[in-house]
Amino acid sequence: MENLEIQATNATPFVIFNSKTNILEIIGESYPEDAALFYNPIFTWLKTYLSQLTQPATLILKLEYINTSSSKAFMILFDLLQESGKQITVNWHYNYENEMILECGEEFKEDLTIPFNIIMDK
Amino acid sequence: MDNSFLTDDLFEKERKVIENALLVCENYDHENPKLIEEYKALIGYFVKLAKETKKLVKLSDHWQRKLRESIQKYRSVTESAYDAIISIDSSKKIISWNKGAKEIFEYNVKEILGKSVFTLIADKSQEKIEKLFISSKSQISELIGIKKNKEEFPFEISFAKWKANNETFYTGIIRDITDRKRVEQHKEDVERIIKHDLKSPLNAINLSSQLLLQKIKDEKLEKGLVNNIVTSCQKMQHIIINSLALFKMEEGSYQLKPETLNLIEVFENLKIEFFNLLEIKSCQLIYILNGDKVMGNEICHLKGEKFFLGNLFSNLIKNAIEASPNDNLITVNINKTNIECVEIDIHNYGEIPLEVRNNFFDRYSTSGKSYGTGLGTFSALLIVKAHNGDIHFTSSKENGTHLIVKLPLGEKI
Repeated sequence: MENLEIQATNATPFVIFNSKTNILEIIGESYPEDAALFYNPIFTWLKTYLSQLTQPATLILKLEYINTSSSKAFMILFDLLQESGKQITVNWHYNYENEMILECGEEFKEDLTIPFNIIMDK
Repeated sequence: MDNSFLTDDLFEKERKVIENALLVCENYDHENPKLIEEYKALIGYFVKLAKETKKLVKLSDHWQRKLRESIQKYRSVTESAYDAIISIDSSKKIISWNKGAKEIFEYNVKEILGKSVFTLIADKSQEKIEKLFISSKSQISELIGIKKNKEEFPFEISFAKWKANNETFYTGIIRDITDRKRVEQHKEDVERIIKHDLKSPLNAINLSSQLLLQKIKDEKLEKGLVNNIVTSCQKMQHIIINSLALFKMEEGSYQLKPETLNLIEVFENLKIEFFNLLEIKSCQLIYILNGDKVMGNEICHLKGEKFFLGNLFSNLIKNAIEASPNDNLITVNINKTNIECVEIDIHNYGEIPLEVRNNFFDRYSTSGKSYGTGLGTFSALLIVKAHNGDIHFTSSKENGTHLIVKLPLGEKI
């Protein structure tokens, strides 16, 4: 399966999903005007990837800011991971000065049963 | 179905609707149980949707709180600052203006918001500010501003570019430097006056001692002392003239003006400087060239600036004598290690204190001398570097201190 790579813009994060290493990363800020337009292709790729996945995978999120519609997109993304029943770990990184991202991570973690690590970066 | 999260808050109504719907489903004896299951699934989605909405509202509230805090923080910083903090949009129109800006430029916020930033900049600085807009880096610059009353004044601006929603904005932190400029000018004037005023008495001393020297015919000691006055005078004159050179060396902009000189001659000229100090310490100073004691007529050519090399070795040898224990020998060992460079090893039996070893060549590094400026070793380093040379030391209780200067000989002479 081809990797998914989307370059960052002012309002959208850098996305690099590697189907060989099973490391999926989203890095940056997310406040697109149309979150569905940005995240739908990611969900489509992810559904195919998850259906073929046999190894453990890690989703690494290093976000600085996410708006409300992106938060909804992340809820969908976490649902997809959880419902797949695959062995997936989420590593939610936050900068030590960015307590909002920490709080977001804590909110998302609350409803999930898949491993969800909240990691402080300096 | 867990809908307990929807209690006692804004979602009370939604909770009741869901509970009623569930009750209806459970008590409705429909002939089609599949339909009931579909209703239940639908209600399940509503529950999930309500749960997500609640979470999103919570997160959104968090962000808004944070944004409000951030705005308050920004306002308290900008409003309490003495400096002007001015932001402009991509069309160079002023969009924010603090109290400091009002104090400096004398416009109030209503008068200036929406006006072009060029209103505040004197014609002579317009080009400079345009360059700041083009540059991608944050930087500090000095410009000339115009107050509301058309008075021009110098200011320093720390300038940064930032982006939001695909638009470029600029923020400048501006400090009125009228007073600083006045002080700098005053300082320069004073320095110029002092330099100028020092020259005349120095010239007088120099000339008088030269005349005196001509009068003394035989007395070796008196002649030596007057000679000392003459060379010291000339040295002071050099120091005054070259006071900017060390600064330039530090900046790396000094252009060396090398001439062919005999290093032995440089050392010979210094001898008289240490006469008194050597007497006080009952020490002896000897020079050795390639293993043989220097008699004074040897030759060791290199290319360099005579004045600065004299200054360098004067400082280093003086330091060595001062640091030496009494009744000891100070040795200056000159060795042409190869055809390209000469090594000068200045040795004394004193030890450099441990606490100054790590910053021995730093500015203001001194130890034990109440009158030391701490600039001697620092200027030594600058002079050596300007000559593309190298300077280092070894120091221990057993072996004393070796200060080793390596200088390139320059072009083949």
